[in-house]
Amino acid sequence: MNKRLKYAVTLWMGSILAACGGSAERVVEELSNAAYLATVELFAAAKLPALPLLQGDQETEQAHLGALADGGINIPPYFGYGNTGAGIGVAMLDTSIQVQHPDLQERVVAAHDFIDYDDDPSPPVGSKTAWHGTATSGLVAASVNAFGVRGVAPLASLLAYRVIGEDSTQDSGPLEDALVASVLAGAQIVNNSWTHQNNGVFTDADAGWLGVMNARVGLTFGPTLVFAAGNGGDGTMSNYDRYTNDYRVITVGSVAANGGAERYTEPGANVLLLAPGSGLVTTDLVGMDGVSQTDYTSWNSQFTGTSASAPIVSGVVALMLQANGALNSRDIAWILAKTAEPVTCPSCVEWLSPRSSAIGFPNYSHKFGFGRVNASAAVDMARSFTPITQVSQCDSGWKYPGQLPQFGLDLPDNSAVGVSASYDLSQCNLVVDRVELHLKVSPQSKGDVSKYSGDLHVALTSPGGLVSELAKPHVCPGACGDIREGFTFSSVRHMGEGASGLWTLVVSDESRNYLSRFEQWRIVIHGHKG
Amino acid sequence: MQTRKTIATLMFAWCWAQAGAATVQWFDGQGMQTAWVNDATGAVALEQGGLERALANTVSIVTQPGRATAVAQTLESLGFVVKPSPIPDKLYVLLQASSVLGATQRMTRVQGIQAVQLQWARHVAMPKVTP
Repeated sequence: MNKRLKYAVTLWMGSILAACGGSAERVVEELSNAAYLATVELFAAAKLPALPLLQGDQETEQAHLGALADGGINIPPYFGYGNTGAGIGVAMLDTSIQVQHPDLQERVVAAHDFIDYDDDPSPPVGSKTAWHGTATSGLVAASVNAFGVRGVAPLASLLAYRVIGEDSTQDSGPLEDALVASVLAGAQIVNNSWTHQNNGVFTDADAGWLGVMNARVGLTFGPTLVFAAGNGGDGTMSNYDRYTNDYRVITVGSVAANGGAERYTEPGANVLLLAPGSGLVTTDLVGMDGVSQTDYTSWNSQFTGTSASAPIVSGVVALMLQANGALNSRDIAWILAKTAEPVTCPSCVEWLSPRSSAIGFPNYSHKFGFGRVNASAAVDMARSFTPITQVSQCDSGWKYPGQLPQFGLDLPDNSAVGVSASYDLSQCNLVVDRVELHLKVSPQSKGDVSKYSGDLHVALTSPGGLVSELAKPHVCPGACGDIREGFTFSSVRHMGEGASGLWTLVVSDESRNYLSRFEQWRIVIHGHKG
Repeated sequence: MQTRKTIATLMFAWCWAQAGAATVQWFDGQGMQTAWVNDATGAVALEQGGLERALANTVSIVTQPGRATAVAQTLESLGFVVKPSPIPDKLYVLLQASSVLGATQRMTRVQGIQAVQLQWARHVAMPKVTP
């Protein structure tokens, strides 16, 4: 930019600043993306203040927004890049949300209570759960102002939808309808800080929710859904929950401040990446006790869990979409994975072999996904990313593990050998975005129907030799879930691999408890032309 | 005599097999459907021998386009508690879970209903909050 043009732009910007009362924030909101880029250098030269990490006296407590070296997500520093989430709608499907909270009220553009059937999702008197939706909303988009805290995307718009009742009920209707409402309202992101799966139970999704997903959400269309991976730790897997397991969603686990995975975060081949999940400072209930007795959580009032990690990523996605509104959820997942910061794990057995440099992704782990979200790197890549607008599928159809006549096979009891079944996808010339595995396994005795699935180990190996562990033997306090009629797993493990070649599934019964039979399987590759 | 005994035995066996689940007719907006209700738990399956689940206290009503207000008024005149939805052409009817299936039978003569959707009761896992 030559000096005369710089001077002209400076005068123009100065006049706008004066007209708007000197608010750099509002000036930036008015500009188009092209103007943003044109003024980056100007803002840097003018040394306008960086977007503050904190307000008030809590400067050291929103560390999750800070540098990677400090355990943060590396929020981009300038207003000049438009790193605010302005113009992006984030639907929060959660408990009650205190939409009148001073740090949230300017952000809320739509609200509905699908539990009490009115337009106010604010917490009822004495609510025991409303702190949850209020806290997650603040992590996404608490406003930048003279007080309180700020969200990852502090100018994003919030759509506050209550779908969880006081007793943690989430009936099928509210969830389905809130998703429809989110789509109809034009929300680009839908945050889901909840899971149905509990303690290792294979849990299917409601047919109504799946119907809405099939009609309105895809890798290249509809909003980007972000899910919390779950807090059950290593005794279970995020892959057992059909919601977090859906191939169209982004599933987020929790990383600790010291760089390792939080012990409670659930592993799974569906986990894309991690975000901070402990001791976070965000909005808390005003006028009633929430997580803390003040209007904000503090680092030791301990709003903790993958419920916190998901909205942090939702906020990052809002920043990415502001940088490039043409991105779809496939692109967003791709960029988040590509730019994720490797997670520290000195003695970690979870790290799998380094991926081929030809694939171009960092290491992957079922515990860590592709690593910790790096907001600045993700936004930078998003800005210049050319969207992939078309994805295709390669579908094996339902297959039997046994030879003709077609039938299932009994699994050897208490054996890692199991039954192996392969399918040749040599004609599938796609680069993998997501892999779905549909699996039917039944108990050999009907009396074992409630428990047999806890004995199973399920592993899928790609032509390139990368392995997705989709289920492992585990103890269920109650029933483990019945997958005779089929259960759907998904994996992000193979993102970037070529789909062509032999895919191999091994299903084994690695416990003495119950006997099982491998009935059928089906693999679906979702990918794009390389 | 032997034939009668055989028939009686078969009938008894059939009745025994049906024990534990009562069938209830419910209206899905287009016609009557059969549901199987577990005598002990009250859980409902929509197919014989299928997955049993607990019903929620609400049914969703999908109306014909533009008919939500009229349908709501008719349902309210029948004594139902009706709530609006932010989704066009949709309503909610609040009920007791134990009476949901029977209540839908009273909706068969309501003009403008396109679908009656049962809702299922679930619980979510809430996040960990350490003390």
